[in-house]
Amino acid sequence: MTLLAHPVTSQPVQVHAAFEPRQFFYNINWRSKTYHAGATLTAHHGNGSDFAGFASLLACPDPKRIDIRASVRTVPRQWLVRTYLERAAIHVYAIVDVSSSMFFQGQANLRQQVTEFVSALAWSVTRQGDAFGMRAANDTQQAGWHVMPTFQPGTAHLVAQNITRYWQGTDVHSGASGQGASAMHAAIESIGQQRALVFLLSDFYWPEALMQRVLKAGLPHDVIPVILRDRAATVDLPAFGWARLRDMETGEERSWMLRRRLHQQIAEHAQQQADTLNTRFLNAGTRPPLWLGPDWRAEDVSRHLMETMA
Amino acid sequence: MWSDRVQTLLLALGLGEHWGLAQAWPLMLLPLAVLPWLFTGQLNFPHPALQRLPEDPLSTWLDRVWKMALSVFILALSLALSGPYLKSQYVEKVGRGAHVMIVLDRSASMNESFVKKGDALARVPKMEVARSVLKKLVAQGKDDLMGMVTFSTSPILAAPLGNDRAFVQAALDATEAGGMGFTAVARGLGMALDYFDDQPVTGARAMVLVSDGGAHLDGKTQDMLRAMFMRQQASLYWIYLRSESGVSLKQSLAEGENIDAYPEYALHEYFQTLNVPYRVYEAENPEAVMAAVRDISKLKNKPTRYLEPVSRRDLSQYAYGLAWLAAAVLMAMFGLELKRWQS
Repeated sequence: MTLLAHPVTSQPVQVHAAFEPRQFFYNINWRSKTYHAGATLTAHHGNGSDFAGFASLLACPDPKRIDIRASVRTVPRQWLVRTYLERAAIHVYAIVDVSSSMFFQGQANLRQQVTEFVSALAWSVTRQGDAFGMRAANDTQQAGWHVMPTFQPGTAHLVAQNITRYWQGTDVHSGASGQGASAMHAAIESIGQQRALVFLLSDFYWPEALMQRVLKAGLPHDVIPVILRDRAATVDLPAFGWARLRDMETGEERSWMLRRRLHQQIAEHAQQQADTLNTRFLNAGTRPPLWLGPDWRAEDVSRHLMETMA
Repeated sequence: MWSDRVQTLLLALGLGEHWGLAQAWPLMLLPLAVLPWLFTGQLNFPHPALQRLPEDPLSTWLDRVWKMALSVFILALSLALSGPYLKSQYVEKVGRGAHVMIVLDRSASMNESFVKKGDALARVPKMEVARSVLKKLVAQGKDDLMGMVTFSTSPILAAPLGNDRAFVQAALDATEAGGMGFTAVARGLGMALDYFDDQPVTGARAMVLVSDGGAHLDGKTQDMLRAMFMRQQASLYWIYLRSESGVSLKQSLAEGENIDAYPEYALHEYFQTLNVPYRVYEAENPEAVMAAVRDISKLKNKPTRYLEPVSRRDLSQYAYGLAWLAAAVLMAMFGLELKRWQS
């Protein structure tokens, strides 16, 4: 009886909330403009350890940093003081596409993957002393995912819980069909113009117009596209048989008589799409995209982020 | 007013004239055939992005075939339920065969043989000779219609004019029982001519009179027979089985002889006045009879157009066949369909 009274509890829990902290590291080559103490170099002078230059003692009256050797060389004589750059925190955002296509259930569970990656990101960001913020959108922005930049240590747990609750509350069959990702650019715009590190999580099955708007909205930021694509949709297809397919977002129907030739064609198309996508991001000036597989490891993510710091 | 117009239209188009429906209400199910094209309730797999993946012409056609098969299935079943039929109608045919009425004498004299003396082989009865030869005639000629009348004192219908060969053969077999009585030629011919009455003229009409003697016809009967021959346009072939003592028709009678003493001759004279094609074959032995029959069967028949009635035909079996075919296609495609999206 209790089950009937609470249908939500009878629903099978497809996305489990067990949070296991995984930490990866990122580095950035631009300067933070915030004043919250952190690990990233800023452009303003202060009590850091990164040497910025010399200044007159009068301009910077801090006698304990007087550099005698530098002062001796000045003509006319004056006292020079070493100045240093401050280090500050940055804002790191996860911007998640929760359109219908992200509900695809193939070999792996994309939603599970999103939960894992975003909570690991929140964990890593908090550990590095930066602020973690989050947005999500399909055709509208999702208020349930909204997280303002925060330094709180418990953010990762909170985020994992929130996301899991969202997945469980959204019915896969009815609520999640026919939703595009048209509010993604609005989600990026809503984090403001101050440069931030933005992880853009999506499958990027987007129309070209949306792609353009999103990339334009992401121009002020350091964008890292994180691409989640299930292999079951394009590569690991059933060997032989006739199937009718329905596009989760547009509702378009198509029939595929799967056989070796069509497999090749589809695989070629998928490969071409991947190449196009990589080129697209390269041209747009984002970092090279991170293709996230179902069995991703934090070490690999760290390596990718370090290598593509450029 | 509206239905009147529809009917006039149908008639003007020539529809409804030749076919009909046993029941009209199943036709209301016909619009259901659009359902497969409107609704897609079939199993389909969700896919994240189809737009940039290839469309396969073969697959597209498979999908169309599936829908068409469903539509055809529904259409054919509703049509079959409504029971269409072809109305009984006339089919124009070209007749090539002859209508042959055999008029066979079964009088007692037919039991005798051609010759009185000689061995047993030569003394076969005339009836037996006639029978075996006529059987050959019946067996030949596929397009011919055949009938048979036997007569002695009074005529007996042995087989009506028709396509049934076995009937005629059986009738000929039945003549094995010996003949009896007199030779009433006129009544036999009259009865045989009657059978041409209901038949369309689809080929040449021939009367084959097989007899071994004549009979005197009075004036009234002669006129009646002449009129009947004229009306039916039937030609007459007389196979005259002449016995040794019989008179020959080839020779004209000697001067001063009484024609009434030779009824065969009188009959021959009369037949010549009938104004229809007439030939006589005088046969003194079995070989001659055979030659006469061969002659008759070779006669050229004029091709004639005629209308043959065809009975009402049920067409729903074709609709059921079509439905069966569509169902087979559907079953095959169902077997081909993937039930689970798994590599």
